[in-house]
Amino acid sequence: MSKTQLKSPTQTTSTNTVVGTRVNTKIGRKLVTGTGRFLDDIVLPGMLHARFVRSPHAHARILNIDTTKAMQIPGVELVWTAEDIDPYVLPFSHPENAKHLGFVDEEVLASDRVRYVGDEVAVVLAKDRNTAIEAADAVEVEYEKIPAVIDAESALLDEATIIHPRLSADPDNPINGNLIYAGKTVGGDTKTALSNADVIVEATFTNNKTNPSPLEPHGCIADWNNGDQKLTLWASTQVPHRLPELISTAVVGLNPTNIICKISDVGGGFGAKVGRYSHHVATCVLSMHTGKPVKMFLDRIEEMQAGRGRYDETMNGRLALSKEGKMLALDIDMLQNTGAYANYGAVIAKSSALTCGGPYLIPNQEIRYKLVYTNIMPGTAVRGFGNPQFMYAIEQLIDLAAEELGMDAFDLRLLNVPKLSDLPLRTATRLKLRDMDVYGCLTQLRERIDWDSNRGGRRTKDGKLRGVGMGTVMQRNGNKSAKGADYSGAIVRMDRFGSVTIFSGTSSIGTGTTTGIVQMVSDTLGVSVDRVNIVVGDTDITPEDMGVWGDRSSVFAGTAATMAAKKLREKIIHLAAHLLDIPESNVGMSDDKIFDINKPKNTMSIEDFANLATYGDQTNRPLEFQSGVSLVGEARFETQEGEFMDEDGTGSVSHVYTFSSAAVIVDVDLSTGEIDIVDIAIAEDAGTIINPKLASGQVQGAVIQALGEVLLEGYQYESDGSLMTGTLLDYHLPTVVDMPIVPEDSIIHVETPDPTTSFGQKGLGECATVTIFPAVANAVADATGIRFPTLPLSPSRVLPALIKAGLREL
Amino acid sequence: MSNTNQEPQSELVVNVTVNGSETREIIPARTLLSEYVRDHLYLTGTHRGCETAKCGACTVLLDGKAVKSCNVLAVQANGKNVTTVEGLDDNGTLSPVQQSFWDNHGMQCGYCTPGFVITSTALLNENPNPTVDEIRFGLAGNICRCTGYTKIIESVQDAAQRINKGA
Repeated sequence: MSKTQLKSPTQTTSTNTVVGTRVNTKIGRKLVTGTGRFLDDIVLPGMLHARFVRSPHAHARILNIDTTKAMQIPGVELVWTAEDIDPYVLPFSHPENAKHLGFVDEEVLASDRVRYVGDEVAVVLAKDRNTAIEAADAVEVEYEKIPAVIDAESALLDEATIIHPRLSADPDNPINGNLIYAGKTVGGDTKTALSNADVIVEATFTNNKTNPSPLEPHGCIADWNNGDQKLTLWASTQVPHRLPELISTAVVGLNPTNIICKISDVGGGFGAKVGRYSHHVATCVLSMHTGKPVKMFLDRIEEMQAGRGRYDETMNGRLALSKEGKMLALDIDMLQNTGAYANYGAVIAKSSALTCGGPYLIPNQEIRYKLVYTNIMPGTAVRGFGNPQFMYAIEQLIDLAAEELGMDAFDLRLLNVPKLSDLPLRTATRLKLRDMDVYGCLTQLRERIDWDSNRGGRRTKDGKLRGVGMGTVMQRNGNKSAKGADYSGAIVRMDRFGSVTIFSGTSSIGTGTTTGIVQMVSDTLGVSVDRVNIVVGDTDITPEDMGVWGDRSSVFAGTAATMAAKKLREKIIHLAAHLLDIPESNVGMSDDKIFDINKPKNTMSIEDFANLATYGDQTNRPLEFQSGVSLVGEARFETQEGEFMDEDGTGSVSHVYTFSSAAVIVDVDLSTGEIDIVDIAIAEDAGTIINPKLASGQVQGAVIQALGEVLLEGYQYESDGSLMTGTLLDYHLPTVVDMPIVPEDSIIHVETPDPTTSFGQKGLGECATVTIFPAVANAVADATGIRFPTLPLSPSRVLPALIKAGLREL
Repeated sequence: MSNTNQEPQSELVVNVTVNGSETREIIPARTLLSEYVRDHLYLTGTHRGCETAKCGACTVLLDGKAVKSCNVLAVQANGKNVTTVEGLDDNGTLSPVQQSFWDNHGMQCGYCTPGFVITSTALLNENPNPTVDEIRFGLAGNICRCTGYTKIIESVQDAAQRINKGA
């Protein structure tokens, strides 16, 4: 591949005064005063409240549903079962399953059997939420239990109960028994490479099933207007422009263009709010049926049972190397415990298999994956999108290989990553790597964590075992293949007072992206951030956008907004040149002023300009502007870098990739099995950092979310599929006393600007969630010499292993 | 008509001073304090995160003490003073705790923020110079999934400094 640099259509050349600074989040004043408007805060006239009746059993036939007692409760409008709702709905699944694999497997309400604890069985509609809860409890469902299967291996056994018998019998889809789908990603020739290798390490790793647990539960309000035949959906969602399309596939006679999606402030998403769920479909149908607004706001128990989370996957992997330490082949069999419905299983497997080789130039890679139905909560997109599972395995294989080769694990990694001067290049799975300083990140990481002093394991003075470990990721920024396209649109408008409003189709879920977009527009127009506001999400007024997921929003929505602002800037400059009586090339814009760059005293304020342009004497304007000036710029940024996957599962699906690495020092307590995080370092190349304060906040949050998953969290099911971790306490979402402080100076930003984005920015919110998984595991192994194949690394797992290894000390 | 006997009542009258204003409502006896401020007074800054006293998003001050309002019946607040997040600013001027959370980015999505701001306010009222461990202990009943807590601890430290300088 040629090494010509890509030319950006968008990158600004003016001096940045706001981009790169620690601007406060634009939504902060609202949030600290409690005046944000979240979904549950919205009350519409005549609004009814819906509540699901959920299955208490993991696997059962529904024999009878008696709604009599529930209907007798005052204030109950209706109680519907599958029989009642089915004329209005269609089964659904992730569009990829429907389109490419040819099946849909989810019903809004279970018609004949329930497949996990929390599966939706009936829906109640009442005058208020408490009445709805009471009535849902009064619905009497008669079940006949069926044997449940909760782990993927058991589900594949011949004697396992088939969870979707009808789909499994259908010859037109890939489902075979409980095996939903088997696929692979192939780059190069792994078989030959394995047979020629000097060293092959092999191991198996399994991660825990986790719930990203955004603090605001899922919820929506559907408001059907029978007059104009439009449905307004208020939703706590990451994808306002995608949701109408997803819902319309599940509601008979409802077109996507008849749904207006408005987002509230969204109390966290982490991937769990990218999908379409039963509660979206049911509220829409019930609003259409009753003609009244219908709200459904899940509670925490429902979130734990049915809110969906990260897939638990088992990786049996082999890494082959030459005796000099060159990585030759990566060969993995992945088994995904997909849960009761396929949902995101396939797209996550495909996407993560594609990029799991990470920054390592492994010429031969083959990843085989199997998705399996079981009677547990279905999974969904979660921060990292399959990468934590793969990198947890692969980075541990690398440490095992270093041990086998007698090499330092850091040296081994450095031997196999590209230097900046090696780029651009394509990896074995055809990822296009460009403008990322992997080598620079890693060398700085090594120094910051003082790897060479800490590696090898040693005793602390208080008798603990200390070790250091690391991990990496190549994180996708957007994904053209998973969604069918990848783009964002933006409109930037200046009013007659010189205030600027950005209309963006993205969603604000706490990532800080909207503030970053404001900063980009602010610098493009030379106006202060206080002058710029951003409107997101309302599909009636914002341009289309794929939403906020996959580290894409700063890249896509940020670039689109900058492009739109540049178009507005061109209009302003054209007019200002006339007003200031200077050539366009001499017009400057900064500090809320428009001026002659050669004679700064020849200037006008942005307010005066805006007033003149829109209200002033028309004859002062250039001829073509005398009939009116529209101070509006609009643009759409669509990836030309992203590709569709080919039949080998390879292709550069993302617009750009962010390289990130983490190193962790741990102390292992030999009497309790507790793991203390002593130090953490992050080094990543997320391109230009738009806002160091908000960016570090993202990284800090990602680190702690990962530490929660690695050390504390995890779903536990009884063998019959009963959920044992149904509350935040049992599940152990981390609190402030559980977690270490991650100071900002733990984070090193190596800023290699991306040439195709407006300010050189790349995504960064997801990366550290991935790298911490293997870093902790490798550090614990460095400290103790013990490899833990299964997460989380809780004392209940660590202590028995210490005893077994003879390391326990009282 | 005042009810002098002790028979259970399904509806009750409560008088609660909320953010300095006297409120009087007839409410179902089961009404939680979180429901009272949200659904009866429309003070929606008090958020419902778990409704089982585990996440702290609904924390309010009850006679100056931080309580999880999903774990208190509205009638238990009868005759008492309640401060919600909406009552912390001074005619639009943010309280030192609010300003510190904003300036230090002690929030991301903002759903837990009112609970943290209220709990931190109570903490600093009781202990104007908390150590990091005392801050941690004081905030142990509030969950934030976004920030990873470091910037929240820094917000409270900064708020303590602002309050002490102002005093």
